Amino acid sequence: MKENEIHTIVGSDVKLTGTIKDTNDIVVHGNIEGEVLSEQNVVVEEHAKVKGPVTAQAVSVSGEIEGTVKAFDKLEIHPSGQVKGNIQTKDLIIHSGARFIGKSDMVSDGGRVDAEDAGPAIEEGEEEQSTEQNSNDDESVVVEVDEES
Amino acid sequence: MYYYDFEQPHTNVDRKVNDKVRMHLTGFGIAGEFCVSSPARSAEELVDMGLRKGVGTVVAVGSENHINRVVNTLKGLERGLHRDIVLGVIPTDKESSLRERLRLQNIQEACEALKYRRFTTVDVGYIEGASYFLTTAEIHTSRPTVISIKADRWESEAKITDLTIFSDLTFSFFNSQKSKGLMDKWVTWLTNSRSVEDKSVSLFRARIIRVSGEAILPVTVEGTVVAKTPVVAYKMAKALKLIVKRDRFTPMDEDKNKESE
Repeated sequence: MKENEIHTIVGSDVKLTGTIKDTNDIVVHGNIEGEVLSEQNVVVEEHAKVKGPVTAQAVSVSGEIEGTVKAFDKLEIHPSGQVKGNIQTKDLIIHSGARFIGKSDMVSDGGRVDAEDAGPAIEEGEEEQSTEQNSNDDESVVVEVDEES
Repeated sequence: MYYYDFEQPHTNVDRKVNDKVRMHLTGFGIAGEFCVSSPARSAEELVDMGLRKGVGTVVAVGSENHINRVVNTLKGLERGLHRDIVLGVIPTDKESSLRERLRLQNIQEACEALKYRRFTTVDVGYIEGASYFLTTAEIHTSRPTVISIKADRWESEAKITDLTIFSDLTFSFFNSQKSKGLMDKWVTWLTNSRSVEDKSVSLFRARIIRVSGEAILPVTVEGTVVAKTPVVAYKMAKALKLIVKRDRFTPMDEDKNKESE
């Protein structure tokens, strides 16, 4: 994260509902119910909670995400992190102690996020469909992890 | 011709600063019409008089409060006049955020910038039905108060003591009673040798925001109460032509197409 670059920060005492998008980084310390979309990085800090889809170039999770995560470059789930939902990324790092419940779709070409042209929040059903399509691709790897079981 | 609207001097120091500004302006050969606001003629009246005379450039000389009053009057009158007025500023406060934003080291540099009349279009904040502002609009409460913020495509509730809205509608809010004290920050800085992030501070950008609270809260622009909650604030994108320093770009104003007359 570059210094002095204005980015979005959701404070620890904040409860936010709706779509939040930025061309720069989004850092979440509080609670969000809705879509989070960034052209750069999304950082979900410890004790933070996101209920809804998250889309960014890179996503770092130390808190909790309940929803689809699309990280075009990298998704990192830290020891305190928890993701409940399908993920799609090029580079996946899950640290020991982290929790991930859902399908992962490893894509070879990450693509780019365009926060300016972002439409309405992605429906869960639509996301499932695209995951299945990619999973038929020979190059893609589908991993199902359920650490709860 | 430049039309200079000086803030009323209250102390000898203020008078000396004004004299210094006049001296620099004369030295640069851009001495136009000098007006000093007073209880008899407010800053707003002076701007009105200047615009009626047909001046194309108004220069506000004084504190940020004075500069915002000039901006507010200028933007209010501009619509009726159907013409763009160029604004020059000479912030006399050493701690002025405008000075920092325009990268002006001192009064002399501010005067020199006027000489070249290189201007850029900047965003102006607008509190609906109340005031335009070039610096910040603020809400401050001594006790943490629950406020509701509705921005472009989201809404939020938070318990805060301070909310600051910048002219480009970047806004931040936090609960100062939950924030770490200065001593804690120093200790952490000394032990970790790195900056401390305060997790209770929120920072957003929007085009329009509506702020309402469980209590009625005053909204101030540089110490002057301009409205009370609920308020709606807009970003008036590239709404003001502002003279900037030669070969320097303002960090908050992205317009790279500098124009000059």
